[in-house]
Amino acid sequence: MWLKIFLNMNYPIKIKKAYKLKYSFFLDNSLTFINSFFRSRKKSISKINKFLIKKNIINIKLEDDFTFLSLHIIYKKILKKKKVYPNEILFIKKLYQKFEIFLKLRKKYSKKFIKITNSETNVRTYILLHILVDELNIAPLCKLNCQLKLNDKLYFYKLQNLDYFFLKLLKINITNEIKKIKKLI
Amino acid sequence: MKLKKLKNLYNNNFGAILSNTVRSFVYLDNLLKYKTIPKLIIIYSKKNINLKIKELLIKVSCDIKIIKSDNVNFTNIGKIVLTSKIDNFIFSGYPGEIVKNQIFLNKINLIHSHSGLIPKYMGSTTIYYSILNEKKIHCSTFVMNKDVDQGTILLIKRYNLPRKYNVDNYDHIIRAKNLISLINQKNKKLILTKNNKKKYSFFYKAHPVLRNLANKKLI
Repeated sequence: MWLKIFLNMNYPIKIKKAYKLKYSFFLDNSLTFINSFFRSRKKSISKINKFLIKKNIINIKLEDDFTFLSLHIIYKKILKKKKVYPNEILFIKKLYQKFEIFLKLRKKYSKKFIKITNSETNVRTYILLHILVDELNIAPLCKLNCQLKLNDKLYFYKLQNLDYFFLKLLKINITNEIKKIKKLI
Repeated sequence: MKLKKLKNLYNNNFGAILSNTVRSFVYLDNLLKYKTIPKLIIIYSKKNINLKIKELLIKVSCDIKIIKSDNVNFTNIGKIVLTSKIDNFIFSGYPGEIVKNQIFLNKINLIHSHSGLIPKYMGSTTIYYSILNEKKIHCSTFVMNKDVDQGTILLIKRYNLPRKYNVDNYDHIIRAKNLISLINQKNKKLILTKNNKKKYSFFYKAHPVLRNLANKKLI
């Protein structure tokens, strides 16, 4: 029982340490690491499933910020199959670059993409960015690398704070990520 | 104009700007092994220099300067470079460091080895991406310019996949080998590259899961 718990904890604990070092100087070539990655992600999916059954999460509302709202508008456009303009793709690309460098996004950026505030955007921005990164014209491995880091962010947040819609998106994101990783093996 | 000075490289007429890292240790170790000794070594670090590096420095018979800074753009490094009158310097910086000092960009040839086929694989930890994508390893050595991983390419070589080492260690070794092959090459072919920022993807630090999978591909 305790061993099982330890194995499940393995990946999140290690990745939190790696995150602090911005994923530098971290190397674990063991099979247990990759196995614990899959276990941990699957555990997150079952956790989301549990939350999805509960009805009271539908009305949960998080504070919206500029970065989130801008991404949300683009996401809605893509959902409705409307034309996404080059400046919107550029916006996604800039956020992707900022995230890859700093591993966090701010609530608001200037036109020149300099942070206006120090406070971090909400977790839903990362969920949307995960989907929108696929719209970028970059190498598939670049997309996957960013998506892995974006999904790692979920270990820093309480999932019960998300509403039904974003929990569902998160579940899809994790499932797609697992599929992509399995293709690489 | 400054590229013409690359001819001097063949006669060991070069210097080295090194950070206090494992990569610098591997560079020094290989330079000693292949008797390719630089005329001047500048080591920059705020912390005490690694003992292994210190041991190697004792064996090297050349001018050594130690600078208390973690930033290659620190003005004192530029001053030392200018007064040395050496035109070519090999460079091993800290991860993510960007060279902005105009002395390095305009007056000397700052030569950097990158473990990836340039311009296809620009950025960080590209060795992992290249293994995952095509199971190939390349190393490119080039004269640095203001853009990251872009400049005049001097030598590109393909290397065998590592059997003994893990990818991280192998990365340092192939960089050092490529530098030494370049220094010992009589006629240097220059490949001028265009700005490839828009054409190719820029790779960011590989996630530990991707690194793990790349290492698995080698087994």
